Amino acid sequence: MSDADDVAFGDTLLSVDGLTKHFTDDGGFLGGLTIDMDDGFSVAYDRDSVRAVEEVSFDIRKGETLGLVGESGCGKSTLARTILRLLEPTDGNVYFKGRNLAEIGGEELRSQRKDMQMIFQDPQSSLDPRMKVGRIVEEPMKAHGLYGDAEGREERAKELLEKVGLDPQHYNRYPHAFSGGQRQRVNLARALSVNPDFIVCDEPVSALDVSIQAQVLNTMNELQAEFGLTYLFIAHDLSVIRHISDRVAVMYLGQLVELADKEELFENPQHPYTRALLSSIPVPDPRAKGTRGVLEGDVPSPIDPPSGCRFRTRCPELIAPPEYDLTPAEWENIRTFTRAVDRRAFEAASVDAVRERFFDDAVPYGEAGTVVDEAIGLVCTDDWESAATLLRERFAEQSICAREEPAYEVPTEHGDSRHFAACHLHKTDLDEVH
Amino acid sequence: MNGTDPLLEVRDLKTQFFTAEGTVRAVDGISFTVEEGEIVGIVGESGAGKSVAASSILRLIENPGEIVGGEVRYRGETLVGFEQRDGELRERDDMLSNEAVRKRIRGREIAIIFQDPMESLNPVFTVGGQLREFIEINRDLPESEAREEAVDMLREVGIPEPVKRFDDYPHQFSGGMRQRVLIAMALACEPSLIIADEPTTALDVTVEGQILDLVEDLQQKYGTSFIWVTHDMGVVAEICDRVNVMYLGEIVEQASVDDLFHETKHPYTAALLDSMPRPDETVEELNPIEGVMPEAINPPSGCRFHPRCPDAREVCVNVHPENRAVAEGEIHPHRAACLQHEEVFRAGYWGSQPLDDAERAQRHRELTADGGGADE
Ligand SMILES: Nc1ncnc2c1ncn2[C@@H]1O[C@H](COP(=O)(O)OP(=O)(O)OP(=O)(O)O)[C@@H](O)[C@H]1O
Ligand SMILES: Nc1ncnc2c1ncn2[C@@H]1O[C@H](COP(=O)(O)OP(=O)(O)OP(=O)(O)O)[C@@H](O)[C@H]1O
Ligand code: SF4
Ligand code: SF4
Ligand SMILES: [Mg+2]
Ligand SMILES: [Mg+2]
Repeated sequence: MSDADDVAFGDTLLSVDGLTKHFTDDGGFLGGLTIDMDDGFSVAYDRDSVRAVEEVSFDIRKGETLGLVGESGCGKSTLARTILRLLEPTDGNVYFKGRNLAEIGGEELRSQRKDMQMIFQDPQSSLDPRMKVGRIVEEPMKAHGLYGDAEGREERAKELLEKVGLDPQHYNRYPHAFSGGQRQRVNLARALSVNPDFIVCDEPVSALDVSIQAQVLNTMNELQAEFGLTYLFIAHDLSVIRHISDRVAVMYLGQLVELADKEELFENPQHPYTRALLSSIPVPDPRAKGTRGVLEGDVPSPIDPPSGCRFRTRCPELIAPPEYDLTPAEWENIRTFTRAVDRRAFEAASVDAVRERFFDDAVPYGEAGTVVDEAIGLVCTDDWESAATLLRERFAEQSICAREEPAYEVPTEHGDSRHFAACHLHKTDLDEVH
Repeated sequence: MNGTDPLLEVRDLKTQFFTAEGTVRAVDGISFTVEEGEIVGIVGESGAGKSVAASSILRLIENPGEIVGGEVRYRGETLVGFEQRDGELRERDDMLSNEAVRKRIRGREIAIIFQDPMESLNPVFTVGGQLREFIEINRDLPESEAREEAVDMLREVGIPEPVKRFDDYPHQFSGGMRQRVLIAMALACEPSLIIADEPTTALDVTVEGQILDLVEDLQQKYGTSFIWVTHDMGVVAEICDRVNVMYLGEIVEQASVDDLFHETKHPYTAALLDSMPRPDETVEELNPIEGVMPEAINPPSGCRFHPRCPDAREVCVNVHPENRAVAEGEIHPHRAACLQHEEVFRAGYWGSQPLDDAERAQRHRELTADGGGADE
């Protein structure tokens, strides 16, 4: 850690710039080849690919923990692997200590990699069952030619086992003799064995019971303080993220939707998706019962993600298309109706019955009214498909949310870090960032 | 007590697994009740015996496991019943036959949703087909009516475009949708009790929220009772009326959900609540429970929690506390299995010598063959 390119605490250690990763349909392996292809490669090819990570940018400062949170399949692991170049990016760059990882090769890349370690999601499968714990911890040292001979490495391995809260006597044990929490400690020891600056932790405690989870989280905090480590900490559990992070990035369908200081993100969330996530967590206090909100619908496929804002198909705050001049209540009714039609969630007995059910309190007039009438007519003749298409084309797809990709910086209320929220509700707030 | 019998009553239930390493006392004498319309939680760490307890109620224990004692009564019928006769433990005469449990109880009266949805859905048949067949068999409906009923059920549990999705295969459904199908299947015969074994554990919090809402709606509509197995205290707080906390095969605390969180009576429950990071406030320092839960083969002497309990004293090593009423509750008393409640246990806890950390750590190491995960 005494390299000439040492970064001071609080300065940018890692910078991710427009990072994109697409997987082609015919297997993950070929996904790596897209990097060699020019921009604007045939559209047909693009259509077939899983757009797992799209234009993600952020910095991580030395000594901090950046939490990355998002639902299953949103691209967290792919982003992590692409940052570490375990996967070739489709586009974009990663700078570590100011050096573009794409531009360095051979020996230099190898040594940079030593400084960047990863703890994988599944403690079961990430440890070779045929290797004793000691060897597992020593393997990276050996690969990088550290700590001299076998004896030196053994001494170091035992020291590390102790540091992560295991008995050094366990040096000769096989992984199966350890509990889940202990295996994650072995993973930590292995990652630490080459003195990294930066560790990507992909759901390191997700598989553990709360009591064990707390032990591992505390150990990770202690190690961070002792070794000056920087963490990118991935989890889908917002409670864990709130505990461990300094700043938090929220990901949805391959993109970052919000990034802010922890306190700011939890106390002053500015993206409807973040708000939905936060309000859907069951709070461990029965007296807080009934405060939970619910986010409707499923995550769309990353093969053909929605245009504009990717969250718009589920967003409870979707912005009304300006040309219809709708009241909030009218717009609310149109959206409820659209969702119900999409899901075929009701029986359409008669025009009046449908009207009464969805537009009792606020009926849109003018052009919007005409479209709604037409759609009600269609569902009553059992043509759901056409009704859904009509509503989609005339309303949802006319919204700014469908037409422009949002990217804004918003005012910060807690702390002093910048706060990004990719939502058009902030169009008037501050500068658009592109 | 309100005079009427509970819907389900479990008394001193014991289930063991006979393995090469020894006898696993997975469920070791648990007692609890479920009233009509109630959601009763079973919460505990991995390996505490939650799933085995859930399966035992419906006699779904397979080799090398066996229910070895206790009683389960449901609406006056004996699902499990053992008695001591001629010095031997025997099945009682009033215990239902396997056939009766399978035909009359399972699915119709008490339905179970297993931990892994893929285990309960057959991957080679369509989702709709499986649901239809289930309804056809269990409710004696002709195929066409069963199909209509199945579509209605799918719509009711929030599957979008149920007619179109009827012929999809399980792998074409997301995890949350598969869980909804299982709920539909559980509801299909309008059972009085649904046993749900961690039905949302593998799901994202947004999907979990959808399912919890669905369950609350359905419960209001049909008045179904639930036994809800989970290790998530957030879920417990959200949906349970009463809760059983399990540790190493035993129930160590039993209370209404509010009392459990706000009038906690057992050090294990307290430690569990204390070790959790929270979504609604920033907790700087977590207080983990030391060590790991030992194997259920050779449980610790005395109080099974003593090697990890911060309040353990000498007496806890020797005296085994039963789960006794230690305070009043709304309808049922608040029970806890901890010798600190001297007025109930009279074991001399307060006069006993506290176990020091070194002693406890040593005992813990002896117990967990692999040295445990204890921090220094
Ligand atoms: N090798 C691959 N080939 C094709 N698609 C892939 C590959 N790896 C991941 N994907 C897809 O990319 C998307 C993102 O996956 P990823 O594993 O990064 O999500 P995640 O956020 O880590 O999810 P989880 O929380 O479940 O771990 C998913 O749609 C996934 O199916
Ligand atoms: N088929 C089996 N053979 C041997 N032991 C078993 C078997 N099934 C369960 N056990 C043991 O019984 C005990 C209780 O297991 P159970 O599955 O009920 O735990 P659980 O509380 O449901 O845990 P989890 O939260 O991981 O689902 C454990 O010690 C387990 O190893
Ligand atoms: S941009 Fe529109 S759809 Fe996206 S989060 Fe904001 S309001 Fe919702
Ligand atoms: S009986 Fe003793 S060891 Fe057990 S929980 Fe109570 S204080 Fe702790
Ligand atoms: Mg992942
Ligand atoms: Mg279980």
